[in-house]
Amino acid sequence: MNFLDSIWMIPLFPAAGAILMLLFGKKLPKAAVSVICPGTVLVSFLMSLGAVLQLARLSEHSYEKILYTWLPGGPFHLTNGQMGHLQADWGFLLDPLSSVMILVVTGVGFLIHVYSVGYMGHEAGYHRFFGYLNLFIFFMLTLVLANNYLLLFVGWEGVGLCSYLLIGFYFLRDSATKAGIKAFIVNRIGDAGFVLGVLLMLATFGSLRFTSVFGEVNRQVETGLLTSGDATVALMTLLLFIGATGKSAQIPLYVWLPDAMEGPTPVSALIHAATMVTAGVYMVARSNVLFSLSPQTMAMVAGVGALTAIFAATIGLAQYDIKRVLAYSTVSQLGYMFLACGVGAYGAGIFHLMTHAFFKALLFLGSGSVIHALSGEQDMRKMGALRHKIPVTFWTFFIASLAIIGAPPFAGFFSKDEILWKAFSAETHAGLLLWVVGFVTAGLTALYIWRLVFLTFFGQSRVDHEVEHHIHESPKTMTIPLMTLAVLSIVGGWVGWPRILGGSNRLETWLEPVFEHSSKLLAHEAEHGAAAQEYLFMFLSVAVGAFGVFIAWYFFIRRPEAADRIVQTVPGVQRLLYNKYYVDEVYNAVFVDGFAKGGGTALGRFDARIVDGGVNGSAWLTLLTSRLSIWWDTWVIDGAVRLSSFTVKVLSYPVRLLQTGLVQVYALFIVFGVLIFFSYYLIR
Amino acid sequence: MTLDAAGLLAILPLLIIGAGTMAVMAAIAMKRNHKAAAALSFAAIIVALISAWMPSSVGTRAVTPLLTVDDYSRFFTTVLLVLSAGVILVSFAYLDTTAARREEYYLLLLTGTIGALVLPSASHYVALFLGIELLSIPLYALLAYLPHRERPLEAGLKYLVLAGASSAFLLFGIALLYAETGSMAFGAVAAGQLATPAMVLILVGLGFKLAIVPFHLWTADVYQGAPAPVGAFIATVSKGAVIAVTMRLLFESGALSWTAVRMLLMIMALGSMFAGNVLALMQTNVKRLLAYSSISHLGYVLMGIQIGGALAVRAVAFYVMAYTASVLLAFGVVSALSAGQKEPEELSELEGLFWTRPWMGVMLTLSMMSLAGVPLTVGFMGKYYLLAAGADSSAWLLSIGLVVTSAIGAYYYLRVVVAIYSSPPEPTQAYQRVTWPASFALMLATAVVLWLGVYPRLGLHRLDLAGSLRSAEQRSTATTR
Repeated sequence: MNFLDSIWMIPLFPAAGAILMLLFGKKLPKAAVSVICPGTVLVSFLMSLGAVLQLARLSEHSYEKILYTWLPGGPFHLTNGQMGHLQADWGFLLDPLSSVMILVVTGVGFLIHVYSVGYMGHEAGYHRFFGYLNLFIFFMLTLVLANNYLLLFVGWEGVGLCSYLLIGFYFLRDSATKAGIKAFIVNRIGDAGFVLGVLLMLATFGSLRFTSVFGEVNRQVETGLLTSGDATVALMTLLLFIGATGKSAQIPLYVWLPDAMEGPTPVSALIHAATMVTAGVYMVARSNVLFSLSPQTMAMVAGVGALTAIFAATIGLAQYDIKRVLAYSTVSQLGYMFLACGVGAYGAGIFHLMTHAFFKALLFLGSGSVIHALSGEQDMRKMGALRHKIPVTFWTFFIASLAIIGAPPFAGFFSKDEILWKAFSAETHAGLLLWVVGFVTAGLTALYIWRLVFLTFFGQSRVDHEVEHHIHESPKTMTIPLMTLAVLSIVGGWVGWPRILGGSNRLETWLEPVFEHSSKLLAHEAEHGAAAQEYLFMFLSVAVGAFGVFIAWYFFIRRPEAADRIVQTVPGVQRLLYNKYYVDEVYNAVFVDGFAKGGGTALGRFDARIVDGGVNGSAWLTLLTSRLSIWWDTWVIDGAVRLSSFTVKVLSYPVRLLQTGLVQVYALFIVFGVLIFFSYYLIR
Repeated sequence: MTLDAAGLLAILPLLIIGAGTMAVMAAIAMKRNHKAAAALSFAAIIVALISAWMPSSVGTRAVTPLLTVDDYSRFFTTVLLVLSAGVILVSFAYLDTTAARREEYYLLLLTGTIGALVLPSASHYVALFLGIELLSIPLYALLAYLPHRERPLEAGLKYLVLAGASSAFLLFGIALLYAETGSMAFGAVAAGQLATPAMVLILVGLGFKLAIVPFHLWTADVYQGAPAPVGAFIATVSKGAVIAVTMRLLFESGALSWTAVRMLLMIMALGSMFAGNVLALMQTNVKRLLAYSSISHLGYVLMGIQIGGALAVRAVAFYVMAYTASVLLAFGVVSALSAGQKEPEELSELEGLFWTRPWMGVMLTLSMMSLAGVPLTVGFMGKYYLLAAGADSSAWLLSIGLVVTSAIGAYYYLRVVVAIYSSPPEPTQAYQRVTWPASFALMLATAVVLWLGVYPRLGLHRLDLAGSLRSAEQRSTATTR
């Protein structure tokens, strides 16, 4: 079978599953739902695998399949005066970058589907949940397989919508609905930036198709029309990056992700750790040709990434909700990925995206298993000593925790080390600073994750008494995905085994065709710096991880009272971290109460006065009339005599017609508008 | 120019609806029968629809100096007829449970439709005025069609007074223009002192009908007060027809290239986008919310008109279709669910709709998503085409306005969706049973919203919309030379 030619079918299977579930799910037996939904994703995974294997045998490592012309269009003026052709296809592009993405999405997606069969088994709305989940996979696959920015946007919005639906899945819980809305709104801010960026791209390069846009950019670079630092490209990439900060939860738009943990845990694992939140990183890596042309934006990307990484990691230190710690950890790890993209190491960013998908999905699913065992308890202060009671969960969680801190030879070691090394060796002034931030964050990561491990699995049991009896290991449908992901968290990084350790870094070689043009633009890509230095850095990052684990062990196992003493000596810091630097409160005060409610109420009040009338309205009316009459006298002289007499008639006529009696205000407003327009005309 | 056979054929849709109105009147005089009146009106519209696309109807033909039948007018005629048919289907069940005398409703609706059909082909100020009045006068009666209710009466009177006032501005503008050029044709070129004030006054009159800021204040009250199907008629047929004539007027008179007019259009467009979206933020009444959202959508349409050019004309034509289909769906669901004297128009009354009426819930969701411009709905395509037109002519300010305000607007559409899917209150709302004519209309609108979102191919490029307008422009310049 020619899998390459049928890549357009890959997203269709989950779509069919979703439609089936949402239309007829109620009537289907539970067992059928449990087979169909994971099954569709499995089929997609196998087809993706087939397609990627066939892609590897092609010489040019890129395959485009256009299904039909989605948006036909005509000739189109570009900003440079030339003509372009406006058109967007429903087309798919399989290249090394999207092949990594589809394998992660369908592979991890399938495992999480299987896990959900066990986890959601007792929930009402079982078929609805799987319907949304399948729908999400459809949109995510559309996002990563799209061959143009517009279709990518379809997926982009679609995953946002599904994310909103799934966060609010427990819609009876008020906080869940609120979190869903928050996610949607914050994402809309980012989306506005993304749309404007795409629009600017359309006007500048005359196409939205990846191959055409990047081909055009490369052509213009070669002919010298476009040089590094071009202002239009800088603006364009900046706008795109705003979109990425929304979707991938970076400063300043990260606030929705921790709240999104209100959704069911498999959702957190799939959408808010492994797939959707990495869409921003994917989009930046996809647009690498453009980003590399703009050193300003690149510095911004790296800076925001590094800042988010360390900022979120510190918040993670003081949280007690097991899922919130992981949520901040995700924000922090996404920061690493942007840091990599910002220094031009797109390959490293995608590598970390992949390994992170494995171990973070595992951490979330493991936490879900813990919560499941403890009948819904999420507070780590009410856990402890669980390692013997739920051994499979413990050991898989243990492996994931080693992977995330970058202990060799677990997956995270290779990807995180590569990012740190690339950050340092990037020839920017800030290279050392970026490395230091990344290095400190690595230590903090070890600290907060192992704090979580020690509080949950070691020490004394602080579990509530009645919950204690129910503790049980999760069913097979949950533990098998855990074990599979644990294996991936170990071996998943080996595809990127660095050359200096005797490997061949196959992932980087595989991804190279996608990034080759930006490598040319960013001349520093050539490996410089001695091998000895690289060994040293490798050792340092492992050491800081070990140090973090040691600190966590000391404070939470060896001397638990010491931790309390520290908290007591500097209570402000702890409170600041626990309350997440009060960012939510500030945003709330400024944007929600300030602009939205304030503006809405102000305009609404204005509206209410005019529309619904009342005492205030009449006062306002008097004021307006007197103002108007002054205006009137001024402008009447200029020749609208007939107009004025006519208007007076209009004004007096309907006064007693209606009890609310405010129609005249509407009419007055029309006159008012005319006057404004005329004043413009006359002043001009 | 006399009216020859070919001319009569070209305006056949108008004549058929006119004859249909007579026939309905005669039928009512003979025997009152709600079904018969509705069926006859519906049939008249369908026949008119077919007649608009007879093989003989190609190319551009001036029928008397008043009307020009071309691709542009044929496109809008089709859209308006389909919308009228949809409104009739939606009205049928609604009237069955609410009104005592139901048959005259169709007379008024058909008369309004005649007025609407005149507008897209109007190429003369007399035709413009006739069309607008013919569209407005039945609306006064339609708005107040349920006289025992308080709000409709209020809405009807408000609309009457204000529409009268705005028509006066329109007439005054036309008079000034006539004084300047001595002609009432759109194409008459005015270049003197009075040209700009005249055009501004005409825009005020039209701006009122479109509810553009600052002439928007009536919308919320009238939408809220109107019986839901009449609201649908105002939001779709009336708005669509006035947009069509506004665009043709601005193109053919060449006013689109005057700085003052361009500036005004831009201010009105931006003002409408912002005011409409911000005012809707705190609304809890769906009909009011739709009123404010219509202000913002008309702002987007005005943006397209202001941009000008072939791409923009097509974008506006597409947007009109996208918007009217979506809003017809929203009003249609509200009408279909109306039971007796009560319309479920407050958000609290729609809570849990999905759990009691899943299909209605899904349709209303789709309509909201389309209005918000979510991809894979026709609303997104409409915005995309507008933005593309904006990028084409580097209208950055308006494009940014569109993107930013639609981001704001997403919030209130989402609120409706949240209400639909929240847990149903106890006891559950009593909704009307949905009848098949209404479901047929709603399904059609749903199909348009979805299908054109996924496969937006109408063959619009085969219709020479902009060509119709451009050639008129050329005609007018030719006559001055």
